[in-house]
Amino acid sequence: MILVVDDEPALVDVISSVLEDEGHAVVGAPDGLAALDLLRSGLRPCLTILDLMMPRMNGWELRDMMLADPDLADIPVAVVSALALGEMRQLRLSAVIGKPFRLEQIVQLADRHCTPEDTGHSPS
Amino acid sequence: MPSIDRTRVDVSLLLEAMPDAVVVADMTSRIVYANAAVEGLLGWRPDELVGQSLHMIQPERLHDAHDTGFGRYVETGVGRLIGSPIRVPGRAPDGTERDVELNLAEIRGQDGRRLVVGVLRDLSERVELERNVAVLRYLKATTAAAARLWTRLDPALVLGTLTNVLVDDFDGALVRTWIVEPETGMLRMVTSGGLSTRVETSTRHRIDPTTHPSKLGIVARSKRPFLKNGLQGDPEFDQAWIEREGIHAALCLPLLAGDDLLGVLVFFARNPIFDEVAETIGHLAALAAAALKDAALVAREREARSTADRARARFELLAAVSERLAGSLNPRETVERIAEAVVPSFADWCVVDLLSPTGSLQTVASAHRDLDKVASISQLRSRYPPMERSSPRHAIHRAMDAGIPVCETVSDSDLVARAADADHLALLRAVGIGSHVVVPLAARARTMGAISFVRGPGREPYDADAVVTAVDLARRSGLAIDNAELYRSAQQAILLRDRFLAVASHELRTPLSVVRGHWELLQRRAGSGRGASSGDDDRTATSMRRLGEGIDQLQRLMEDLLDVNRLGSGQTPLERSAVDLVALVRDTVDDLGRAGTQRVRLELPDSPVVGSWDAARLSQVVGNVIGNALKYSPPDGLVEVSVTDGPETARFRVADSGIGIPAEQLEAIFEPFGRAPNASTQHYPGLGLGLAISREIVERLGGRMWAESAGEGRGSVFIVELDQHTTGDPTATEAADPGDGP
Repeated sequence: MILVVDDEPALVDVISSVLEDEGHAVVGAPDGLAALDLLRSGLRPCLTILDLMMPRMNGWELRDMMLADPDLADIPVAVVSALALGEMRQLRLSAVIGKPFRLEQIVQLADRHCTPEDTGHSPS
Repeated sequence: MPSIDRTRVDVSLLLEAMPDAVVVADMTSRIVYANAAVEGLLGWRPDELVGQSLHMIQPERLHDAHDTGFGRYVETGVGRLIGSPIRVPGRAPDGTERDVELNLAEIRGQDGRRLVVGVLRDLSERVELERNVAVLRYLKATTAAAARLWTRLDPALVLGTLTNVLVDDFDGALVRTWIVEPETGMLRMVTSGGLSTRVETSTRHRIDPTTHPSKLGIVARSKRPFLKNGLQGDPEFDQAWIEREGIHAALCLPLLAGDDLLGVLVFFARNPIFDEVAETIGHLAALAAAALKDAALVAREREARSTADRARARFELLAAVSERLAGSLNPRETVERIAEAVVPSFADWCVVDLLSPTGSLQTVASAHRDLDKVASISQLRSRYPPMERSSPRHAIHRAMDAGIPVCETVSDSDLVARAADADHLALLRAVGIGSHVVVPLAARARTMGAISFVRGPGREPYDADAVVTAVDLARRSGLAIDNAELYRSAQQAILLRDRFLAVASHELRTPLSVVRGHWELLQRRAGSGRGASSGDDDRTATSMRRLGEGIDQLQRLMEDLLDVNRLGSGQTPLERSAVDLVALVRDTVDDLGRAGTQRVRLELPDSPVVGSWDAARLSQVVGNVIGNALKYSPPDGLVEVSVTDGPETARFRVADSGIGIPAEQLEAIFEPFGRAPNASTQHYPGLGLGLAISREIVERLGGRMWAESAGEGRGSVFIVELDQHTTGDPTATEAADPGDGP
C-alpha cells in the first residue's frame, strides 16, 4: 500500500494510475490532516509520497507528527515538491523529487520500498 | 580834556606826525582828509586822495561790499566794522594791495556833519611774523595728522581725520571732502566740518564732476588746485553767505593718487590763505589721498579675502552636504542628512517639505541649532501647515509655484501679519525667523517640494551670495532625493520581480507536473499496449510527440525562470568535474541539430579540451548559445561553431548569419529579460533569460562571455572563454582523459 498525499487531485490521480499500472495499491489523501487520520486509523503504507505545500496541514507538519509517533516514525516518506528544496535533513526523508517529475522516478521509488505482491493486501 | 585845552595842541599837526595813516571821509564816502603817513603806507599823496572816493584806496572787488555796508551804516548808524580793528587789503596807486589794520570811528565835524575816521596801520611785518608762526603751526599739525591718517584705513575715517585737522588746526571755517564713487564716477560729499557738519544724501551732495559748473567741478575736471583770497564781491561765491560768515578765502584741492582723482577737498577760511599755508594743506591733502588709496586697496584686499573666505565656507558646506548625501540611498534619511548638514553653519534651522503622491506638502525633515526648538518646528508645521491660499502667501508656495528661490528678510511685524493666532505667533517667534531662503526642490523637471533655510533675527540676513549657495544645496538635495527615490523604486521592482518569479515558477510546476504526468502515463500505456489509445494510430503518435515537445519547452522556460532567481542570489552550488568541451559541444549540436533546417558547421580540435567545469551547467550554456544562433538565423542560414584550445583558456565560439545585434545592445542582451529590440519586434520567442543565465554560469566558472556583431541583419558572434586551470586538480583532468595519450 502506497499513500499519496497531495492537494492536487490530478497529481494524486496520475501517480496512483502509474503505480497501479505497476501493480501497487495506492491510497490518496488531499492534505496532511486526512493522511494523518488514515495513519492513525491503522493504515501502514510501505511508502508515503508527500507534497509539502498543502492546506489544513502541510507536509512538514504531517512529517513532524509522524516522526513524533513511534508507530509512524519508520514509515518511509518521499517528498515530491515544487519548492526549491532547502534543508530537509531533519525530515528524515527517503527521497526528494522535484516537480515536474518523470513517472519513471516515481516507479523506481516505489520499486525500492514496496513489492507489487504485498500491495493491495494491507492487513487493515 | 583840560590838558589839551591848556597846551593848545594843534590837532592837525598831531595827525600829521602820527606813524599810522589817517583817512577821514564824509557820509558820501568822499575823502576829506588824509595824513602824510598815508603815502608811506599805501603810496598815495594826501592831496591825491582828498576829494576822491574811498574806492581809491580799496581793491575794486570790495567796492560793492563797501557801498552796501557804508550805505547801511549811514542810514542806520549800525556798522559791523566800527569800533574793532579789522584786517583789510588797501590799494596802492599801481593797483597792488597791502594788508592793513583798520580802526574805524565816527566823529562830528565843526559844521556838525558826520565824518568817519579810519586809522590804518601797516601789518606787513606782523603779517610776515604771523605767517611764519602759522606755517610752523600748520606744519606741526600736518605731521600730527599724517600719523592719524593711517591709524584706520577706511575712506570715511581718512577724510574725517583730514576734515577735523583742517577745522581744528588750520582754522578752517568750512571744510568739506568729496569722494569719487568708483562705480558711477559721481562725486559724493563724505564729510563736512566747521560751519556745517551736515552731510546729506540729497542731490546737492552728489554731483556729476564732468558737467558740474562750480569750482568743485572745475577742480575735479582739471585736477588742479584752486586758491582765492578775498572772496567778498566775487560773484562765483554766495555773497550773502560770504558776508554773513566773514569768509575771506577759498582753497579747493584735488585728492590725487598718481593721475587718478580720488576726491576733492574744499576749504574756506576767514583769514587769507597764504601760499605757504595752501602748500601745507596741499601736502596734507596729498597724504590724505595716499591714505585714501591705501584704504581702497585694503578694502579691496579685505573684500577679496572675505570673498575667498565665503567661497571656501561655501565649498566646505557643499562638500560636507554632498558627502552626507552620497552616503544614503534612503529618501527620508537623505533629507534628514541635508537638514542636519546646513545647521548651524548656513542656517539656524532648516525644514524640508516634500509633496506627497496626493499633492499635499509633508514635512519630512527638520533641524534646529537649538535642539529644544526642533519640537517647535514640528508643532509649527503640524498645527499651522503652509496653506495653499493663505494671506500673505506662504513663501514655500510662492517658491514652488514660481520655480525660483524666495529670499526675504522677515521682521517681527511680518510674523504678526502671518500669524493665524497668538499661539502661532508664539511658535514663529520661538523658532526665530530673521531671514529665509526657500528654494524649490526639483529633479528631472519635477517639483518635489521645497527646502527652507532660516536664520534667526540676530543673524546677518541672507544675501544674494547666500541664495546662490542655497540654490546649489537645493539642486544637490533634489538630485539626491530623486536618486534615493529611484533607487527605492528600483529595489521594489527587483523585489517584486524576484517574488513574482519565485511564485510563478512554483505555481507553474504543479500544473506542469499534472500535464507531464498524464502525458507520460499515456505514453507508457501506449507503449505497453494497455492504454486507451492505440499505438497503431500514427496521428495519435504525432500528437503525443508534439505534446511532449510542448511540455519540454514549457519546462525549459520554467527552469530558466527559476535559474535566474537562483543564480542571481548565488544559491546554486557548482559541481566541478573534468569536462571535455569538445565532446560536450558535439553532443549538444547532435541534440539540437536535428530540429532546425539551418546548416551547422563544426570546427573542433582533434584532441579533447578539458577543464574543471560543471558539465550540466556548461551544457546549458552551450545549448543556449547554439540554440539562439539557430533561432535567430534564417532557414537557410549557416551557424559556425568552433572550439579552440589556448595556453590557459578554452574558447567556444558561435557565429550566425541572423538578425544581428545593434551595437548599443551588445551588453544589454546579457541582462535578465534583456532582449535586443529587433528580437522583440520580429517576434522571436523567448523571455530574455538564456544569456543572463549563461553569462552568470560562465563567470562563476571563472570565464568571460560576450557578443560581437557588425550590426542589425549582419549576424552575431558569441564567445565564451573559459579558464582551464581554475581548480588545478590534475586527477580531475586525467579522469576525463580519453586515454589516447602516449
